[in-house]
Amino acid sequence: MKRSIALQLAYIKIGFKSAIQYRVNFIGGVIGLLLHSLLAAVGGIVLIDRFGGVVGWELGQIMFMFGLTRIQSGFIYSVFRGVVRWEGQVREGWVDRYLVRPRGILAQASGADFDIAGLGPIIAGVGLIIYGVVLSPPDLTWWLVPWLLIVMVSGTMIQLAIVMVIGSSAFYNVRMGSATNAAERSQWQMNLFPASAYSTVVQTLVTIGLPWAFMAFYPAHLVYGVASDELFGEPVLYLAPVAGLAAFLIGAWSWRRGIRSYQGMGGV
Amino acid sequence: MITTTNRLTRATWAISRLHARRTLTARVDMISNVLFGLLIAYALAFLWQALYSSNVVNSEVTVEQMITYAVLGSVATTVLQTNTVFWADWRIRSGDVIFDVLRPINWQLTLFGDYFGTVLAQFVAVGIPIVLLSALFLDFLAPASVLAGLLFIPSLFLGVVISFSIVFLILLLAFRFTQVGGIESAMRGFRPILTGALVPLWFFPDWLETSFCALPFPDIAFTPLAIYVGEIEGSDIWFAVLRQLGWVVALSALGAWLAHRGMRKLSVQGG
Repeated sequence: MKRSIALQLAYIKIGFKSAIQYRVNFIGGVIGLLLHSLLAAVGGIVLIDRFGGVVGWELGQIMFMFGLTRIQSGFIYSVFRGVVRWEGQVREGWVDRYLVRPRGILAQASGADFDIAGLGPIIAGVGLIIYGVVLSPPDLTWWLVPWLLIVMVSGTMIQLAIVMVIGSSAFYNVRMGSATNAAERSQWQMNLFPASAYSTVVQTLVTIGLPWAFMAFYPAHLVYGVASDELFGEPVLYLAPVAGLAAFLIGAWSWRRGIRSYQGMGGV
Repeated sequence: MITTTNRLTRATWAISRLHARRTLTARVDMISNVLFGLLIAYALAFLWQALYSSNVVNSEVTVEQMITYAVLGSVATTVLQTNTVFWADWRIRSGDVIFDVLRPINWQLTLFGDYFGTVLAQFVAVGIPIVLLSALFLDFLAPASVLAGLLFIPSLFLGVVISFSIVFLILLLAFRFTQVGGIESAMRGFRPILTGALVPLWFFPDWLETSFCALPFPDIAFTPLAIYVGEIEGSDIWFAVLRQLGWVVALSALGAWLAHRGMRKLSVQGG
């Protein structure tokens, strides 16, 4: 574990050095993804402000939630970029090389394609959280910061799990790269508004099927002291870490299954 | 002149068909795009229903029009996303672009053929199923008028050409800066907002709507969608299509000029 983390940090260092060689892409990537998150937020702000909130949630609270999800996406975009681009790595035969190295494939895959542009959503997310807190201050309690850190980790695990499940299908299918993009696109568009604004079916889906609602929506109830009048009652508000862990285990299982059935790409 | 145009059109169409077939082989991509596209379409449709039912929306646009707009917006966002920039950027970086430019067909047209073929395949395999499945369970409306129905498709086509022209301009930066994948990744995030596919521009404050309308982005998705739902009507439809045509001419000419300059740069790094 310690060695995997050390390897991951070494990959990040190399990735950073490599990224700054292409300065315009580096700056364009970071600023571009920063603007992406901010512009998406502007779209939400304009709409939510015009309607005075959405299904009982205030603008500040919604931006706080969106900020949390952007930070989680930023980590996926930078630290786990190799998993996001897994299809390309399988097609280009990189997996063959990973398999013969004495380190975990997930750590190698993640680090091999580190992308500094993920800093953009992280910076934007921090900005949106500050904006949200200024507009709608949360209840200040001793557990607020630890809870947010737990939510940050579990939300990242949820996103990583979805990416791993989609990525593992690259072992069986020649091309599926845009499936990951479609998932990412759907995730940020849906997290721009509270899950309770959607229908029962959609809300159930983002709670059980693709547990995006655990990335910020349910945990934010505790942060703002909002009682649950949602579909799944009070307990679901505390389940973000469980959802993160469960999702990750499913992702890891799917990932292992894919690797076991991997036949090799030959001399690509 | 006519023979040359015919030859180029046929060649571009052949490239489009090739890329359309290639796109259709990625079945997991197609199925997941339909599923995620449907999810967004349904989620947004219910969001608008919730907003309308809580009487916070003060607009002349009906909830049925908004649901129709949400479904078509989801289709536009899904269908217009291609890997053209990443693929062509890699070819510029590796030097393989030289094989593309040596072909007896303009490089810009070759890439347009690639982009259009991919978009067309996604429209057929992803867009149409999303619309049909949405129409089954949601209040999806037919075009607002005969004229709207007739001009929706040409307007959509012009939107695709504008979208490609912007993609091409981003790609041309690769001649100068080598790698532009990050910029394209960012653009993927901008598009749903700037093109008005996620939130219609009439909900934006006047100053923001005016600012966005000064850019070519709204003519990619907002204009065809607004024509379809009847928010642009009468003679305004013709004006909107003419404006799209203007953007196509201006951006294509700019792209051709910059590509010509880029090729000179390429010959320097070529050896």
